[in-house]
Amino acid sequence: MNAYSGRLLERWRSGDPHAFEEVVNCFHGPLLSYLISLLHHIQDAEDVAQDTFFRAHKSVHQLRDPAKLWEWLKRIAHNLAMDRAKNSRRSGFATDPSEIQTIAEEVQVSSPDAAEAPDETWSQLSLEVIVEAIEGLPEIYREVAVYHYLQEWPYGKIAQALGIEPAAARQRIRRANKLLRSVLMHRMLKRTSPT
Amino acid sequence: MTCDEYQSEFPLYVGHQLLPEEDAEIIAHLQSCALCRQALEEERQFARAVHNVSLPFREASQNIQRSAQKAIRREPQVIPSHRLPESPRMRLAIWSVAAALALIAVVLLRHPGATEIDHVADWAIENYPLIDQTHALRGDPATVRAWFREHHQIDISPPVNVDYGKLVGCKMAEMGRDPAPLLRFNGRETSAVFILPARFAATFNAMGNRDISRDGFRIVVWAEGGNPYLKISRLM
Repeated sequence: MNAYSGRLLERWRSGDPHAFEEVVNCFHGPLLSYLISLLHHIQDAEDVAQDTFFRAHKSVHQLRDPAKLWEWLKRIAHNLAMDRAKNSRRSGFATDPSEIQTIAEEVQVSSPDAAEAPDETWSQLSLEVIVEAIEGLPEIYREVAVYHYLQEWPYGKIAQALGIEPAAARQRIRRANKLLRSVLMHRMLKRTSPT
Repeated sequence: MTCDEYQSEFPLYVGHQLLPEEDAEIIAHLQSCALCRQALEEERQFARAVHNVSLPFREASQNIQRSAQKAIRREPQVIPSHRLPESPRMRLAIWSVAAALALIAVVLLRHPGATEIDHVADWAIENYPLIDQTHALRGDPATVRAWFREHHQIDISPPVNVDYGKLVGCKMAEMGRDPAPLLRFNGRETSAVFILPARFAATFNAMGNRDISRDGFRIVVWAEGGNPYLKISRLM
């Protein structure tokens, strides 16, 4: 991310509006994943992510070091998330009921075989579980996992976002897949094993 | 390659992201290796489960991008105070230009999305001949990918679970291209439906369906399910 974010930051600081859109495009996935792991509520995470980018846009001139762009965004997000968590009495992971219906319909339309009975191993899988597993990965694989699994970006786009060669992106996807499946399998087995 | 190496390619294989020759190599290996066939089926189940439960994430992701696009249209540039010129005359000149631009923006906003519609309409009309070429494409995703790579030097990622009897394209916006290639082609009506980059959804949502006729084509744009669509038909 650092090589690309250097040029991006300079354009953003100089007032290029397209640079802001690129920043959002590049960072909103990892930021959303981070916020879901903090807040355990997707709507809150989405709201805080939006607020984070607006606040960052207002104060981008304060950031000097492009290498710190991601950490800076995370810090803003973390502070906003803590304020949000203090003001919220929610617990657990929730989705608006009408949203569940819409998503269910979309799954029916876009994934005709999603109606098949899911394999037992993954029947307990949820977005929160995946996000927690991804956030527990080493950073080098965490970003790739967000882009590949949650945003479903092709590896060429992932390579561009990370400022690496496509072959390197493919290698990270392979490794992230092994790690993630191992972590998730372990969690799924813990959940389904008799107590 | 060892079985371990083949299996490490399965995440990209089930996502249709490998080159045709890589696909062919895996397919050939699967014909003689029950272990890898089993591993592939497990990877498919995992990928399907992740895809289904992560839909809310992509919805939220689109919302964040749309909201940022709206915000940047309202306030495209943030000029830190320390960068404003000191001279009152220069400041007056700058604010006058800003006021004029704001006035132009108000005029444009009375026809929301007009320039964007023209932009996508231009693109659709220009790329219509592509439909006549791509509609003949059938079959597996690897063939379609290879065609786009050879003829247009772009690398598309067809979505999982695509019925290639009907769909021959996907969102190019994911690859940084603007707008998007063919989603569906109906040979009898000579019409085609494109799915556009997510950033157009905000404009289409705001102005509702638009239906224009230009240069021998009818173009309809609309937003549905959070996605912006364009349909182009040749006027007979």
